[in-house]
Amino acid sequence: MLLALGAALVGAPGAASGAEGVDPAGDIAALLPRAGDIAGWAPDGPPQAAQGQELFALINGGAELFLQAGFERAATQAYRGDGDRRVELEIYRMLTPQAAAAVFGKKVVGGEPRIPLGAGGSRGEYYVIFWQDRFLVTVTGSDATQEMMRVVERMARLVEEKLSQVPR
Amino acid sequence: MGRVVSRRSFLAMGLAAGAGTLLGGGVSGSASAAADSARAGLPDLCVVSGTGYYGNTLKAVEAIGGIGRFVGRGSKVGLLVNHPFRNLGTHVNPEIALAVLKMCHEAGAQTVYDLKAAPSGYWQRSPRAKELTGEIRTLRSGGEYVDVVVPKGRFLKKGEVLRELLEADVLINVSIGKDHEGTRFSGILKNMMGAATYSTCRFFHFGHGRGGWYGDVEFLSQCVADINLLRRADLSISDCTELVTTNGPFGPGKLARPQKIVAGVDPVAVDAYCTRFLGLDAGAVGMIRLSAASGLGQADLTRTKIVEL
Repeated sequence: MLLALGAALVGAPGAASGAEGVDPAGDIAALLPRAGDIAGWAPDGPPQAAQGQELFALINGGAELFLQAGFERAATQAYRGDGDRRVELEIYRMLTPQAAAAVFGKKVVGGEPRIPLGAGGSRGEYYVIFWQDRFLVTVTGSDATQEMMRVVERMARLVEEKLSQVPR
Repeated sequence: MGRVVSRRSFLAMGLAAGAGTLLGGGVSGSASAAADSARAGLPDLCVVSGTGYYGNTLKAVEAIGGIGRFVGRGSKVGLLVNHPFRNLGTHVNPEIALAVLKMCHEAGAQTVYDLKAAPSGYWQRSPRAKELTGEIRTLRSGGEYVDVVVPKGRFLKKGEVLRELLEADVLINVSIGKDHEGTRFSGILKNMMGAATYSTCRFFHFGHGRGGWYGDVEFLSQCVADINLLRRADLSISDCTELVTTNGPFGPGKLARPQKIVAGVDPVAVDAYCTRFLGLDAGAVGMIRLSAASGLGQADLTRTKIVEL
């Protein structure tokens, strides 16, 4: 069953605080930026999570690519900024770094420019994708303006920082 | 006002099938609507270009006879909108769905079902949502799934679909033409999977027994044709304003912005037209070819009357 991770879970006693204490085998929701991490932006509703085959319920036909490569679990979070601006963050934890790299390779097929982010990153018109260790991360803006892309890239950097503190 | 397509005769047949199982009918209602187009001199398809999505949706439907041709006063309308994904170019722009909703209300629909309940915040992505708050609030969700048999299905012989898909007097399929990892194209025909349970959709992907989510695309494509035999949309509207050309159906991916809205009574013809926005030939898309072969519509656009505005 698809899990809606309420704020209570993320903020529960013993839960990870920022990147510190992140359990690489457990709570990837702790990798999600929080309200105020980027000025003017805050989570829009609770995050959602999926494990194994539950991914189909989360991203429907997009799931096969991840499952074929070796998927473990995912957390997604919508963020809302000023006005109607929105950002979607998806963090997928794969079974191996090779699986994360494989999905990244299949996602970056349109000639989008590579950027120095994680172990490999790419910048599309309105989104950023990167992988690091076992994680594949996508950050997607609701429009393709320069202002939006600054937020998208900032959010990706925040996740990259948190990932860099995950024990290997 | 034109003829209102009714599902009542279909329901009488389906309910007679007995306890909890509905018998999928055929495509006669919509086939008649298509025949009406020819008789009335109306185009089969209307394609409207531009960035005024709300107004252009109204124009497109008006050009094929107006909403009154499909939705009668007091009718129950099922809206099947492809809106589960959030990434740009992967879901129907809410301006288009809102235009359809508004038209249904103006035509006097008694009930409008949003068959797959919209994800949180979907309608609010449109600046017009405040103005149409009343219409949005009246939307009812499809909730109960029922067992169905598909007598004319080649591979899909039974399944579970939303009851309202079958019980609505009018079915309006509002989808987006976009890339799809398995079938290369997703549009009106494939959107019908949205009315089925996960279990039924899994059969589309794995029922061939050879493994792999896209292990047999021909099987999947035939199942898509089969579920459309269960209930063919009376009105099909395809959002081809902004769409992903890579990484479909979920995205994010490269965007194309054809800025077109395509409306028609023939779901096969609508999809066949929209493949061009992905650089595809309609004949190369299995579900279009197989749906045409199943009698669901016309994939040969040289035999289709198209108006472009």
